[in-house]
Amino acid sequence: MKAKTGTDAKPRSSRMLTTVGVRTAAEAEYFFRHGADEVYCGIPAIPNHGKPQENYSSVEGIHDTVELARRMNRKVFLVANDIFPSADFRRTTAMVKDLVKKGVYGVIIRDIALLDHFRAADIRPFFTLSTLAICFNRGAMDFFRERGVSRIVLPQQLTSQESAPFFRDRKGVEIEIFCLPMFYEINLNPLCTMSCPCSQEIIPGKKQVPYTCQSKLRSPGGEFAMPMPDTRTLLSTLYDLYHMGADCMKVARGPNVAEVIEVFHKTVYLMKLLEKGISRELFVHEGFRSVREAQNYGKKYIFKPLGT
Amino acid sequence: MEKSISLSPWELSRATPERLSGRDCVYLGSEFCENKLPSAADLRKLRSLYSGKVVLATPLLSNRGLEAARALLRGLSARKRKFEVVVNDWGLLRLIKKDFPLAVPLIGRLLTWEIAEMDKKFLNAFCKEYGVPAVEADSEETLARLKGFRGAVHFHYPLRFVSVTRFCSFTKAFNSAPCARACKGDTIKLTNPKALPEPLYMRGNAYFVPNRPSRHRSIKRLVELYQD
Repeated sequence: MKAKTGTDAKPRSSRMLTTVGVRTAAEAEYFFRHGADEVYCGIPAIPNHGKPQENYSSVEGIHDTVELARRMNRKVFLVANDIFPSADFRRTTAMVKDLVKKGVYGVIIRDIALLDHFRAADIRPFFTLSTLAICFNRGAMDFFRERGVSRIVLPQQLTSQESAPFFRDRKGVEIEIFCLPMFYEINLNPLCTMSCPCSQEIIPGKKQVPYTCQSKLRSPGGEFAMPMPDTRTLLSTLYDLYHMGADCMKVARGPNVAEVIEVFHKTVYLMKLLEKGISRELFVHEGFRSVREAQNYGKKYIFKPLGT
Repeated sequence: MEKSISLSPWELSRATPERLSGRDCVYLGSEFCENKLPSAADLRKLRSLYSGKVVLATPLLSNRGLEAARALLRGLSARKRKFEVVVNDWGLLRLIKKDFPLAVPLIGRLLTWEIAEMDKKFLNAFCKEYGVPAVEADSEETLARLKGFRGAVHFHYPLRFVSVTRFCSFTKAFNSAPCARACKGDTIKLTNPKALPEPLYMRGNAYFVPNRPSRHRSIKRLVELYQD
């Protein structure tokens, strides 16, 4: 579905940033050297939506990455995008505070309790609202903005027209988007408890539990597969979001760094096409050619660290 | 223990007074699909079949859906009496607090899944601030996570939601596209012994597995799903 930006949108005035999920300072350095503006990272001790293999193994690794980013004039975000359970709330929020004091620029959050806790303590890092926080309309964006959020990650499952109100009079809130043709989740991730690429790591040689959303199911009417928009529709939506003024494009983290690197370079390529100001038709044509083999949802959960 | 039944506008078109009688309240709408928000005419039709308390059920909303919900709240507020609204959207919760003092928000199943594990000191204060007396739930796991929550729980059966999409399986389009309610009130059984440990049931844009009414002490209302 095309928004009212027309077939040939006007070139935008500011550059869209790139943010990439990393698990080591070495990965962060690779992405910084290849054009990433920001990286985001987590550790298992702080609640986040990643598998352990998608996180740093220690807090010291994050300190090193913060120092690296300082030298390279880039930014590091801490991912804390899960609900902080009651029993451990004090300890885990203290860890987040400590990392903010040590130079982490922003915190990616989902839990509104965390926002209120920081506000009460008068500690105000740059808060990014995770897409997991289910913010699907302008009123919801205002709800989170009033609680201290400075950037939202737009849910993948919105059309261009549904997204347009987020960009109008947004009162300083930045908008981050996914590179939709390469990362689209069929069901709403935070509200899905079925077998999913996010819920298991693929270990070579070990039998994998099929992902429900990618399985052929039987129904009384015949074979059924959960539908999703086609790649050209997602490219067209990406084109609209860029021209509406999205501030940042996200490359999601994963345990298979070769996959993340591939998706990162394809994302940068799509951004360069957009920056050239080409028409929607040309962007969709050229974008389709470059990403059609890259719907790697699932495959990237094979654990492969840098250098293997 | 209150007893209730929930139905969508499509199911309302087939409902009889006998199916609704004896209930302490009736839920109308959907917690999952914004195309199943009732119209003012649907609300009038329900009142012609049932004279008790009506609870408006609302899902996660797009901007268009939020405007439709706002119009419904205006209509309900014009009756100058308090009314309950199941809320599954942060934007709607904010709107109710700001503009609709007669609306009593009940946190719906999607948001309950989100808030259930939150720090209980915060959650209880948050619910007090927003005037939330109860949450909707449909699983024992959620009830366990809610330990320490001071409000009531309304428990839905005989289906527990396990996933929801915004790309409709019936229309093959996003929820904001024109909808002829092709899903009707159908519950479609999906199976695959290799991929699913138990059959999955699709209703509109959401997926469910069977559950049973819980006897947990926090439950103050049982909500049965209307099925033909």
